[in-house]
Amino acid sequence: MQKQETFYEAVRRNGISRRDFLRFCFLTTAYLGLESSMVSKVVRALESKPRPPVFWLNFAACTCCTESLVRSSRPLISDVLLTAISLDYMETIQVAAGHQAEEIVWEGMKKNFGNYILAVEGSVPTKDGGVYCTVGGMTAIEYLKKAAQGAKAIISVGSCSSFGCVTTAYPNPTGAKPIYKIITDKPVVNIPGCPPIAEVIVGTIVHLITFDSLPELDSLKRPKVFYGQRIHDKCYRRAFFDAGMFVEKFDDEGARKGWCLYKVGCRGPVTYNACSIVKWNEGTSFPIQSGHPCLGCSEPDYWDKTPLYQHVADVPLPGFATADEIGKGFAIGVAVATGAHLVASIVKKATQKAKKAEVGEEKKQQKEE
Amino acid sequence: MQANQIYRVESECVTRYYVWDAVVRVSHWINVIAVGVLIFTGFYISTPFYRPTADEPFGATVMATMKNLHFLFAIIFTLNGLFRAYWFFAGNTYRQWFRFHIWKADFWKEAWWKLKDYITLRYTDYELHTLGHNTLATLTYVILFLAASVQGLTGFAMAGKINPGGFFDTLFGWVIPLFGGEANVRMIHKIIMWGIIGFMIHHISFVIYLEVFREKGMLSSMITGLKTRPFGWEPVEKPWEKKEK
Repeated sequence: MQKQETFYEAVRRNGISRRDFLRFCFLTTAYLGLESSMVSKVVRALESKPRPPVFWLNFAACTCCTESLVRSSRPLISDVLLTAISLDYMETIQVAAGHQAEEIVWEGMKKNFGNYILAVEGSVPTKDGGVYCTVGGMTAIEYLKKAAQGAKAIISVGSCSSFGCVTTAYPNPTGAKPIYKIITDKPVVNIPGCPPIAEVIVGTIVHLITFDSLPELDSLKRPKVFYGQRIHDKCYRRAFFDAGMFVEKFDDEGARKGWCLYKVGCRGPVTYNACSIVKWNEGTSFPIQSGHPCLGCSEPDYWDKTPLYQHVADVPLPGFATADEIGKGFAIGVAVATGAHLVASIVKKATQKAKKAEVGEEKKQQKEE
Repeated sequence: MQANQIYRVESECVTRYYVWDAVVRVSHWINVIAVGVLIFTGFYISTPFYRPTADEPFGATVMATMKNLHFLFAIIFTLNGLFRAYWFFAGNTYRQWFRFHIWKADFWKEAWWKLKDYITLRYTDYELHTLGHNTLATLTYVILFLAASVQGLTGFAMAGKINPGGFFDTLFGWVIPLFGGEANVRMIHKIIMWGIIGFMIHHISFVIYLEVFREKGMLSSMITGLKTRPFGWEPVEKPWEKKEK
């Protein structure tokens, strides 16, 4: 068997200088939240370890995660990135099609059994035997289970495969499920976001290559480095929040001056992601910077937390009302019931007194008679 | 002072019992202040109704102050609550912990009887221990205590995330995934706040009623510790059983 080329060899073959390679290593180390002494370890790993092949599977999703990934421009330009992680199968950008493409997948997986990384985009419909999503004549569940057998780790790219996004939103007619609910015997990393930031996807994969282990995960299986903090706590508009200066509605004076978007429904205070640090498209901007409230797309079931322009969603009960409306209703109900009870008590006591007085008078009269 | 002794003061027309000891009274008024501040600041944090007139964010710290106050009084409320929980066991004879027997039929019989008693507007005085709380009230306060605990857990979990891995995050961080994301945690925090407001409406109007119209000294007992019963009043044991006969 021919020796697999390393990341470094692949990069040099594509005409990238060693200087750029080292720059990539430095940046990635920083993204992963590691101290600078780890740079040499990252460099050594990328120089010596064979590139693990990555198979990218698309199920029930909109392919926005792919779009996000191919726009990754930091750490390196996109074509180099694809070389870096040896992307062997990805429906959106591969040349092969039909039977040819399917052959590549299964052959590649057989050859690298136990070593490849599976990146899954999209959730898996499970209702009616999973007929609502089929790839190459197989249902998505069969496909995923077969592909996962030899995987070293599974990366759930995007909200669909991590928590269930628009595909699993109520009423979920296809019975779609996120990946970690179907594959339970393999390490799964969730990279939620609709789409997730390209640098976050790449960073996680590089961590897998470099250290042969998953990055530190939180209880929702997200890498802590990127999903450890709220967007709100690193937001550049935080000063306006703390001051109490809020955009009341879109296009008002505050909106033009770039005040806090909390009152027009920003979910930044409840959303864990790296948007306000890493930002998007070469670090150009992120939703809040362009004047739009955060929708909380990397949180579980964010589509069901409607309406989206409200920082605390409606209570998911029949009739959908805000927590405040329900609460006010409850408080008014209590007040009315208590008031009625008290009035009734007072009236009853008053009538009793009157009766007693009457009875007393009658007795008096009887005595007199 | 012996824990299970009953102190009684008789005057010409009423009998007064010393029910609430100083600890209970002080902790009650701390709660009143803390809950008041928490609800006010909580409302501001949820729906900021006041905007400073500043053009620049420096100088004005309205929201930051509200959040700090909310956090400060949450800590006061929690510590007070923890001490009060200890006092369930260590307080005087009117502490109700040893009567909180939800697994016994009598507990539910009494609660049901008392509920009917309230709805039919009788307000019967019966056993001596009900000078403190009757079973229905005990049940209500335990539920209130649980609600306050959920408020504490959800609140500290959200506050802890300011410093991931810090003290509060380590202690309460597990709450957020439990409810499926912080958005749900907020919603629950809000709904329970309304529940507590509902309790307060009932609580305040009833103590005023029982003070003014029924002369049971409910309101003044939180200041003096003394509750009032009519002169020559005798306790009745298990009135709900007598009625069935």
